Amino acid sequence: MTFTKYLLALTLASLALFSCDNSESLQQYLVDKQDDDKFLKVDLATSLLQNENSDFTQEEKDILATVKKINVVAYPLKGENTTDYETEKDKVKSILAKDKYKTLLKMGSNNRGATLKYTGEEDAIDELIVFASDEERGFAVFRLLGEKMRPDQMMKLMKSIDKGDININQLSGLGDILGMGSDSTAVKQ
Amino acid sequence: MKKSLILIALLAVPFFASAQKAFDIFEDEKDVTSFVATKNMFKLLSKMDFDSNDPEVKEYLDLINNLDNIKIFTTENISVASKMNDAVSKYVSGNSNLSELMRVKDDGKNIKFYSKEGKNSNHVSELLMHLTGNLDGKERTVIMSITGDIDLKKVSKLTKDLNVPGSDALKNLDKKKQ
Repeated sequence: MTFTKYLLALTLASLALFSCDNSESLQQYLVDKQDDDKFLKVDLATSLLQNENSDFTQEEKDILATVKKINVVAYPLKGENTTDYETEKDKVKSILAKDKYKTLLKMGSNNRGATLKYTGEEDAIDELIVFASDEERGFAVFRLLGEKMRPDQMMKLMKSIDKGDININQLSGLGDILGMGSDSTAVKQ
Repeated sequence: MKKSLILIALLAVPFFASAQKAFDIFEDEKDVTSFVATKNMFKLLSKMDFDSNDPEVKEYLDLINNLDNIKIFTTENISVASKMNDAVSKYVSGNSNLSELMRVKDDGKNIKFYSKEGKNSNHVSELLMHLTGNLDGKERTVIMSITGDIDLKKVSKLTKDLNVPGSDALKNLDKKKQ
C-alpha cells in the first residue's frame, strides 16, 4: 500500500516536472520579443491609472493592490510581412491553447477575432488576457496582470471607474496607438 | 464497486466532452461569425458580485451557472453553409440520443431544434439549433449549440439577450411546454 502511494506521488511529481519543462509561457514569449522592432509594446503600472485627487476607501486600495500592471504587445501588419506575421500569430495561438490559459469567451467574424482567457483560479485570477487579431491590421495581446484578483471585487472596481476615481482615458489613448483598440477594449471591459 | 463506477464515469467524460467538437472546425473558418462562451466564463460570472436580490438576476445566474458551453456559428458563405449543414446532419444522425425537439418554417427560414434528454422533461442536457434561410435579407446558416443542464423554459431569455436568430421560435417552445 505504502509502495503504491510512493509510486503515485512520484508519478505526479514527474508529471508536474515534465509539464513545466516544455511549456513556453506567454510571459516567456513576450520577454523574447522585447527587443523585436516588429512589435509594439506598452507597459502600464496600474498606479498610473489613478486620478490624482481620487479618494479611495481602504477596501478599494486593497483591491487595486491586487492589480499590478497592464501589458500590451502588438504586431501591426504592414503589407510585406505576412508570412512572418502568420508564424508569430500561430505561435501565440499555440501558447494560448495550453490548458493553463482557460478560455472564457471567443468571438470571431470573417477576418477578425478576439479571445478572452485567464490564468489562476476563478476566484483568484492571476492574468486576464485578450488576444485580438485582424487580418488587415495585425494582432495584439492585452494582459491585465495581478495577483489573486477576485472577480467580485473587480466589479466594485468597475464602479469606481464610473465614479471617476480611475482614469481609463489613459487606456483609450492606448487603443488609438494600436489602431484596433475600440472593439478589443470593449471585450475587455 | 464504487471505484469501478468512478472509473467508468471518468472514462465516459471525454466521450461526452467531445459531443460539441463536431462544430469546432468552424471556429477558425473564414466567413464565419462565431461566439463561444465556456464553463469558466459562467463560473466566473457566478462569482461576480451582482445585485442578487433582484429575482430576475438571480434566475439568470441560476440558468447560466448550470451551463457548460455555448457555441454559435453564423455564415453567409454558401460553401461554408453547406459544410455546416453536412456537419449538423452528420452529428444528428450519429447521435441516437439526440432527438428533434421542434421544427419551424417561417418567413423563408427553416429552424430545427434538437435536444438531448436531461434530468426531467423541462431540462435538457444539450440543445442544438440549426437555422437556414433568409435572415435580415440575406441567406444565412446558423448553428447554436448549448450544453449543460438547460432549463428549456428559461433558455430563450438567454438566447434572446445574445441576439441569436431564431430565439423567438424558442420562446414559443416555452408556451407549448407550459
